[in-house]
Formats: sequence, structure tokens, C-alpha cells
Amino acid sequence: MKEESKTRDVLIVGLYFQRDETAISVTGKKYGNYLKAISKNILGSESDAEECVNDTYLRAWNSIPPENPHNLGTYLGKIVRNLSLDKYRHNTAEKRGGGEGSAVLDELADCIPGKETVESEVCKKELTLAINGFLDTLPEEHCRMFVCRYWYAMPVCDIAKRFRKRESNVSVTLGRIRNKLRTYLSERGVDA
Amino acid sequence: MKSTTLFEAIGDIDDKKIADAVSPMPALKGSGWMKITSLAACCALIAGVAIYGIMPKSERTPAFSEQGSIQTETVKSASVKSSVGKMELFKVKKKLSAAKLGGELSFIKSIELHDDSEKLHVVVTSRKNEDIKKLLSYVAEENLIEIEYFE
Repeated sequence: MKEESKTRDVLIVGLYFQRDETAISVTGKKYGNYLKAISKNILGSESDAEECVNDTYLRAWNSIPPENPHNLGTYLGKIVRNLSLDKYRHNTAEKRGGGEGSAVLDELADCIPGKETVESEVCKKELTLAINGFLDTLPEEHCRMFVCRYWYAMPVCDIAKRFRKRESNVSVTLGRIRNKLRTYLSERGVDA
Repeated sequence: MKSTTLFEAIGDIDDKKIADAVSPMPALKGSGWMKITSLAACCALIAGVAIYGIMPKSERTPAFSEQGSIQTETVKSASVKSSVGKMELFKVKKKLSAAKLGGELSFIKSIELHDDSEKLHVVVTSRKNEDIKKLLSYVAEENLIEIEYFE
């Protein structure tokens, strides 16, 4: 099943390389719901999510080639996530919007060690590297929970269903992971 | 650092971690068999306890015991029964002795209680039905005594 999906992805990417416009409709068929779910988790709005997903197809069309994504799903997911974050910023500036975006960002604020200063602004790549290292230290289930919440911006109730746990249990686990992440980043001087 | 920076940084984590998070959790090796085996073991344990609970105490034998200890249990149970029977026989003997002395059962020649016997051995000099009936009226159960006629 996984291999079949990968083969289909290679064919879809091939269509992008051939500049065949059916690439977009095929992408939509396979990843439309997945991308919309990510965007809707962050923005909480069906129409905003739809807009972000359409922008994602356009961005993919413009970036492939030269990009040749190894994992098309994750590649598109990253695009829609970034676009949704931009939309979220725009919406909050205009004081509108809902979804899990604000809750997720509030929770992530707990993980930031030390005070916020201009000097504390670290290189994003360095931070990603540290987070990857931190996730490697976690048990597999905790790592998955963290990614579901802070990458996919999934509501806690959905994570609880997915992992067959109580919501309170998931909230407590996520809280502990955030505390660990703060300590981890602090120990590695990411707040310096 | 802002929380949005952290959110963006999380966005660039390994593709595998992102894909794995929404894929089904891998089943533990042999977990299916482990579940079935442990369920069967639990059922067997519950059934065992239930059967032991409803079984009469006298029929219970200690689990995993050697043959010798089971025999000891049987002997112990018999000896308890025997000691209760002997007490009863003593009481009957006392009653009969008193009646003999009182002249009500004057036809009794002797009353003996042997260690190896579970009956009271009564020797009588009369064969009359009314005398025998009178003698038996002192005994709760007929099988507690054995009567010998002295010619």
C-alpha cells in the first residue's frame, strides 16, 4: 500500500515536470482532504482553508521543478502549513479567525526558554535541528502526539481519539513534553 | 524568540516524523498472540477459582500438592470424624452404665468401647424384644452399638 502510494507520487511529480496541468487535479484528488484538514486545524475556517489549499497547488506548480520532492504529501503539507500560518497572522491582525492556531501558538510560547530579546532570535534552521534532536529523545508515541498537535495543529480531542486516550491524558502528556522541550532548548543555549 | 518562530521551525522537522505521526501505530511483535494467551490464562484462572469456590470443602484438595500431602488431608479428615464419633460413644456408654446401675437396664452384662472400633460393644443377658427396644431407646442411632447375647 505504501509502495503503491509512493509510485503514484512519483507519477504525479512527473506530471509537474512535464508541465501537465492535470498534475493539479490529480494532486487535489489524492491530497485535497489532507491539506484542507491541516489548514482548517490552524485557521478554523472552511473558506480560508479552501483558499490556502488552492494557493498550495499554485505554489507546488511554481516550485516543481526545480524542486523534486521525495515525499509529495509532506512537501505539500509544509506549504499549506506555512500559507495557513501567514493567513492566521493576517487574520489575527484583523482580529478575526479561530481554529487551533491561537491555542497551539499559546502552548508553544511555554516552550520558549528565557526572555524574548533581539539577541535571542535564533536561526530557524538551528532551532529545527534542535527540535529534531529533541523528538528523537522521546518515546515514539509522545513524538507522534507532539507532531500531531504542533505540526498538524490537531485539536486535543482528535489526538485523544487517534491514540485511544482521554483528552485530559493527552493534555497532561503534551504539557510534560513542552516542559521537556523548554529544558532541552535551554540546555542547548537556544535561548542565548 | 516568538511562538510563531517555534511553530515555523517545527514545520521543517524530518519528513518521516511528519508522515509517521498520522500513520497507524506499528503493532508490537507477537502482540496478537500475547493478547490471546494472556486472555486464555485469565479465563483459566477465573474458572479455576470459581470451581474451587463452589466445590464442597470436603472435596477440595490442595492444588499442586504431592500425593503424600493429599493423603494426609484425607487421614486428618477421617480422624476428625472418628474423634467426634468416639465422643458420642462415650456419652452413650455413660448413659447405659447409669441405666444399668439404676436397674433400668439390668440385663446388660458389660459395655466396652474398643479403640479400633467405631461401635460400642454391649453384652446383654436378655433376648426379649422389649429389653432390646429399651436398650436402643438410649441410643440415638442403632448403628452406634453392637449387641452380643450372653448365653
